[in-house]
Amino acid sequence: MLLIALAICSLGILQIYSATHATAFRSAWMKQCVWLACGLFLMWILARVDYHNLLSQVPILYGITLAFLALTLVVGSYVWGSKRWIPLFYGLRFQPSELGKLVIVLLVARYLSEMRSDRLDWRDLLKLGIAVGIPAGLVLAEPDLGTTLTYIPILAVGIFFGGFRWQHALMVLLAAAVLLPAGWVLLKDYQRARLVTFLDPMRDPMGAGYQVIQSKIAVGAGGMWGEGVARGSQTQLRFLPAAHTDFVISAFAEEHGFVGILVLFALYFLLLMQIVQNAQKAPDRAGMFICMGVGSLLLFHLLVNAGMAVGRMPVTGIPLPLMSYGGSSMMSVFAMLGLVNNVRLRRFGS
Amino acid sequence: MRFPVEKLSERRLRIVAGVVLLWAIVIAGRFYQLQVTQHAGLKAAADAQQQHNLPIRVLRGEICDRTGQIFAISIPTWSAVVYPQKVKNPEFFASQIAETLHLNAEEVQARLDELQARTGKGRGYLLLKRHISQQEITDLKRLPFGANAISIEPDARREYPNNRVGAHVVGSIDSDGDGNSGLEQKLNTELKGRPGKMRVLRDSLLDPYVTWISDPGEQGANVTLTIQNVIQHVAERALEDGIREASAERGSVVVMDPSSGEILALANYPDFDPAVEKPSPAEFAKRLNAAVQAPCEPGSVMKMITVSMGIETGKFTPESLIYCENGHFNRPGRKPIHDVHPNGTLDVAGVLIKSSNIGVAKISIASGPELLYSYLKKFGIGDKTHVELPGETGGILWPLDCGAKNSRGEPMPCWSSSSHEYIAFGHEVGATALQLARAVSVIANGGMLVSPHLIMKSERPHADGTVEQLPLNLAPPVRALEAQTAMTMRHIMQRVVLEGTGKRAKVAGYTVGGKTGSAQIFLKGKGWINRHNSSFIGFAPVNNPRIVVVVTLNNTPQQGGIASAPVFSKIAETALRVLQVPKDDPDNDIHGMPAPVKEEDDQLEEPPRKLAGKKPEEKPKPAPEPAPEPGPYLLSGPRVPDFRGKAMVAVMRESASLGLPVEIVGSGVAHEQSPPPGELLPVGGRIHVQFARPQ
Repeated sequence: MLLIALAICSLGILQIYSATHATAFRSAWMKQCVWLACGLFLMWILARVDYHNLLSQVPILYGITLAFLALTLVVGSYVWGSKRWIPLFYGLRFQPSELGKLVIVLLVARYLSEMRSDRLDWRDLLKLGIAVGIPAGLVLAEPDLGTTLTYIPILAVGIFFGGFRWQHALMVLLAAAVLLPAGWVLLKDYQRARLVTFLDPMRDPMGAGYQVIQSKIAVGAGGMWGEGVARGSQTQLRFLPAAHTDFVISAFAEEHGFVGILVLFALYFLLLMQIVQNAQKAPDRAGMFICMGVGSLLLFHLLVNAGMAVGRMPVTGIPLPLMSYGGSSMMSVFAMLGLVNNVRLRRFGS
Repeated sequence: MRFPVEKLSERRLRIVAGVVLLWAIVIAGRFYQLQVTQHAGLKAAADAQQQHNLPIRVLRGEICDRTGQIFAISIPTWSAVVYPQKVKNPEFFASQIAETLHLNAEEVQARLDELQARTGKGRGYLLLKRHISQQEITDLKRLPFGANAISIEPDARREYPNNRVGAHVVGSIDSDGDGNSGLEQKLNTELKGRPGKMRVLRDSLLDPYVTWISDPGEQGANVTLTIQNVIQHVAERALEDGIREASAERGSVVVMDPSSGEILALANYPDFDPAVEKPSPAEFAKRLNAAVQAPCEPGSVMKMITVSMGIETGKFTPESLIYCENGHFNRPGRKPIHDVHPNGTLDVAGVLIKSSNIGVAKISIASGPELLYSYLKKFGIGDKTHVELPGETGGILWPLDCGAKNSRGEPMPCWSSSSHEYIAFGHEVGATALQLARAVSVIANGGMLVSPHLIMKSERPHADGTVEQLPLNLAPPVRALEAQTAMTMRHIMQRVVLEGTGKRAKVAGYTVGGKTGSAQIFLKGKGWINRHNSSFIGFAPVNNPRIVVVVTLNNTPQQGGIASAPVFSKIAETALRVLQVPKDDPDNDIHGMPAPVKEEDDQLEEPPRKLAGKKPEEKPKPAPEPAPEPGPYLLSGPRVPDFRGKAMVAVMRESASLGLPVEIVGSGVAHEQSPPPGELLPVGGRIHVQFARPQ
């Protein structure tokens, strides 16, 4: 599992180098290496501590997370129109919403494992919903729609495997099916457009349409075999926005083509299968839910990010795990892989 | 129903896996769609926003004469262009821009308003000022709004360092850089080249990133003319002086190398300034290149062809006697033919020397119209010379047979029963100065009809430093006359200058041959008026002519060779000196001046036709000169002496004393020679002597 993760990271670092070697971010690939090292260290720590101990500390972790999220709204540095980071020393910044992902994985796992039933009733759903909803609301207030959305699959997959009843599922779906279009119809065209922009202003500096168009051109220009490392003209000429962060997959697709994309998808598939396998072999329900939570989170990131690059998903600033440049994302992904390893290490335990 | 609590629900896992797989397939399929099926279109879209075409400036080729002196050259400059749709406040803009470019603010604003009104707010650009100075460029770039609305674009200015000299040859260009007269027009494509294309890769901020040359274009070809600048200059001055002295309206001069057809000078007066890009209609009329575009009746110079025909066909020899009817040739049922100076019996040489219309008419009658027509064709009358100048005319030579129709279906004029009599002395026929130069070259070079041309070489420089020679496409010379006939004619024409109508054409130190011509001008509605086209065709030196010169003066009150022969003399004198032709006639070299010509030597050769106005004053009749004795010139060429075994100095001395042209190859003693000793030297030919060092 670690090897696969490192392989994806290498591709990511290569692509970051290729996309930024002629720009002001030319040192980004080195920083990413540093983040990778830090991530590995964090992963090692999280694998050492028994996850049962972590689960027992969930209320405290939850409290700390809420406090940080609240603090972000107060002291957070305003970047691109939203407050997401708490400034630390040496210009480093800390993104509490990434910590939130980790905590929610643990929270959901603990709640569902402590339930001595395999059926969830309304009260359980409500409790979980509120527990997840509070940090989600705080993140949404930053505003950061993308990260908020990533909390949902953790919850959804958790309750689905935790014994979500089909009747409830149907009712929730029905309610959603009625409420969403109703809400949508009530809005006018420009309001809808504004809603998206309002919810996610940072990721739309030049117009979401521009980004998607440029991304599609980049992907298409790559063709079957790609234009070669540091040869993708869309990427190199800075037509592709955020080529080393959110749209790193577009840059990758341009330079390595459809074949490169298939290889990349295969690597992610193997990684996810490893995680699911760990879930199946987990010693208890808690371990299983941790693995499934991590797996669903990574999968959601991957599919939304890739979908965004080809215009099949709305542009929300969800990074591609293990590839996109960014310290917080890197750390949180490796922390979660650490949790999965943690479960794996204790698969033969009591 | 109870779920296995401790284990993952397989069923639910499959459901989740199914949903995820579906989602992944959709996205992977989308990747496939974009990258494989829509690849070409998206690649084109990427190129379209990344790549931009910029033209590469290609300078128009240079034109220089045979010595390398530049007649036309292009200097790269910059021009200020404004995009009116980007101008926010025309009034302010105009005032600023006008000050910077030293223009009139109101005028600039008016032009801007006019363009904006014409094109709306859309596209279009206005060429504000061409060839702006470096200071103006600097000032323009300092203007706060300059970057947007003003563009400084590459341009080029055509310079003609010699001003009017050679203007009719070189020509001129219009403001778009296309030739509109002369060689500039005829060779426009070659001179202009083809602008190249440079592809610029620009990033999203439109900063140029990478450039590469996608199409290097083609440089304009550099053209070297056969023109010789000193001869050209003197020809123009002599022509202008001649026109003033003869009170003529206009005139043309052609100086040509008879053996190669290289045109050494070609001039018309009035001339023009080629630097004027937008000439007035009057100024534009001066750009007519009369020497190739305006045929006129050659008059008596045509007798050269008639006499050549008579001698070559064997019907006449130079000594054959012709009764010249004492100046009045009455034929039943036809108009009489007159001579200005009545002659009794003349030999054929005398007919040409005295320029007897009746004499040549009788030669023509004896030969018949078909033969005359074929000889005119042999001399190139009626046919274009295909010189590299635009709008050339083939002159006027009506078809022999009647009934032919022109392109509009109208019947074309044709030869009447008496045409050949008149054409024999140059009426009912039209030729340009250049055609006459080609015709006289046939006599001068020993019988070959050459292709007059102006271009010595045309070279296209390439980016890699190589030079491509462009083909010249010259028609090979065609034999028109036996060398023998040509030689005979040269000596008769020498006597025209020595004894006959062309005495003013003498050149100090050189033997000269020639023929005067004069044709009265016929105006529609006015009939024959007392104005003439006076011409002189000639060559020098007689034995091995290096130049032929044709002078035509149009619309002069003077008749005959009085007006044009001195022009010939001046031009030939310079041309021979410039070409370093050795003098061959020391007797005719009195302190560098030819023997003076007495007034009574000027002879009229054309009888005045029915005048619209008063009669021209008749000059006293000169005493008829005795018939010339048959001279050695009537024989074939001189016998070639034996040079073999002689030293070079001895060969040169002997050949000089015999007056034989020698071509020396190698060094040492004479080894071989061609033609061999004792043979007759072909007319106009040289003796090739091969020298070798004894072993």
